[in-house]
Amino acid sequence: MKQIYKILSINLLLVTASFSQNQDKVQSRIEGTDRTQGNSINAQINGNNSENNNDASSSDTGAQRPISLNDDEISAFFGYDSRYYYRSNPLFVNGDISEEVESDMWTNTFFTGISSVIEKDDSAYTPFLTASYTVNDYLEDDLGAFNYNATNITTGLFSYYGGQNTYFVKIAYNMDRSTENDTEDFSEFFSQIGLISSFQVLNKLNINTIVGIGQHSSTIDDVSGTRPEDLMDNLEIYALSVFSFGNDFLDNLGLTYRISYQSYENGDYSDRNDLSHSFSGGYGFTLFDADQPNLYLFSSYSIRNSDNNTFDYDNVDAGVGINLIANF
Amino acid sequence: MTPNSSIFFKNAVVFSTAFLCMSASSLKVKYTHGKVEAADLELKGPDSVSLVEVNASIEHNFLIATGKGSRTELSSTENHTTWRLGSLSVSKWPSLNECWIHSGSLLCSTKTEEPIKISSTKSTASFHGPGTFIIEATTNGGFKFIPLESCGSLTTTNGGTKEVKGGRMLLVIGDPSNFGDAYDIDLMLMLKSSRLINSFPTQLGRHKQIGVSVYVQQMKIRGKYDALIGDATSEDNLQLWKFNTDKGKVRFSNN
Repeated sequence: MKQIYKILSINLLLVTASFSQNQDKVQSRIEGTDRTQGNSINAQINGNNSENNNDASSSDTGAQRPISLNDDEISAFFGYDSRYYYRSNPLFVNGDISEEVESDMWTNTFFTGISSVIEKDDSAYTPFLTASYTVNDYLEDDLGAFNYNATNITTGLFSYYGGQNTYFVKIAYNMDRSTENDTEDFSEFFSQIGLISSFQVLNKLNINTIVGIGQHSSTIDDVSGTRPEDLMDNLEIYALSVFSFGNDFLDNLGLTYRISYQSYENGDYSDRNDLSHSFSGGYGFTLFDADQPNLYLFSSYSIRNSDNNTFDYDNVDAGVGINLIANF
Repeated sequence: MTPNSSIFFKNAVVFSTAFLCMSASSLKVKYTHGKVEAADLELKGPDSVSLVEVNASIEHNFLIATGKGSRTELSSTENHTTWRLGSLSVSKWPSLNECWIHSGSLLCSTKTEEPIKISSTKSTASFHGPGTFIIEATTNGGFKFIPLESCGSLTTTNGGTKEVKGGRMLLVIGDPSNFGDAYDIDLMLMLKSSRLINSFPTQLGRHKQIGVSVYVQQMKIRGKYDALIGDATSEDNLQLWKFNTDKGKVRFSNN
């Protein structure tokens, strides 16, 4: 009997140690995850600026290209996105482990959203609501325990007053749920304000920049009271630039650079400040006579420098994705 | 003040006021590029034609014609209206709120809510603003009415009144005038390719409203046809130029 208790105790100890180690890795993974905050609307606004300068008209009037508009008060979309890619540092950790552990990943996202446009004489407002559900699977067997499902719900308002800037206020709810344990690993509300600005350089290069500031109010497992639930609360200031080209070949090429500064507030993180960068690129292909590119290649490199070196990491993603979207 | 100086002062006030009223009630030339000529319809012979210069007044009996690649901008402070006449265009302004176009294209940007009458060789319509729109004369004697932004309306004799919406082109045809088909056109592309907007040194007074109009259209856009609208050669025929078509049909795309 004592033998059984001993084995159980050892097992429990191992499980607890393993759980504790997993908690750290899960937390590390959570901190490294790049969350799209209902950016489909952003993409709608920004992507539309990469218009071909099709100077086809011989008169001074300008080219008159017929289009189709949604005359309904509310626009809606839903879609599916699937990605298969290599990730060099799946748990976003610093040091040797990152050199040893790498994994292929498969993510499947179902997303939807609605928006409306309220037009005034010299301003326009776009309230929106988007939601997505992503199944994240590590294809490396040893990492299967870290598989998780991510939920995002974002609502907000874009306002435009003419000129180059669009202003936004929005709040996002993010939640990660462990597939293996069916536990909620992380949730947060991310409230933010910012602006989107468009520039045209050298006639063919469009730069759309998003600058924002927001507060992450988060909840994580307190691991039996060893850390505060709001440990990961932080103030984030970020800037994102999307480069697009007015060229037939390069029209489907997208390059993005993001820089972010995060200042943490609680518990052991009270003095922690991070500076993160990410560079990403993608090229889209149109299959089956679709209306827009639905197959794409992508890669990204991200790096984080923290004033506590423990939180430093770098990571490379590279892979292929397919995107299907329907607008109403 | 002596009696003589008093009379002089009164005369100065009267004549200054009259001068200001006269200058305010005509269109002033703000910009010219290339060869822009004015023909005085009340005169005959070579003396009736003169070059249009900046700060000149455009009288109601002047017919303004532009050469190839030439343009001019006129404005009136009285009704807060700017007119831009494009290349190879012929037009006249019988009054501040009235424009006649023979050929070519022009742009009007107005803050006034008073009706502005637009006519061509065959058709007539009345715009109630404010707003910014482009007029292009068509071979059938009518014209295209292309609003860049507006919350106003357009009225024709037989077609009644239609609400004007940024980017929704209306064809005005026939005599008495009626509306032809309406087409939503890509405002972003038009803004980038229109010389009536881009080939002038100053911004239009209502450029913010134009920006809002483009934004609203971009938010509502579902797709674009691989075609460009051309001339209206008759009341039933509008030219449509296809491009990037695989199977001889107008393709619909999100590009």
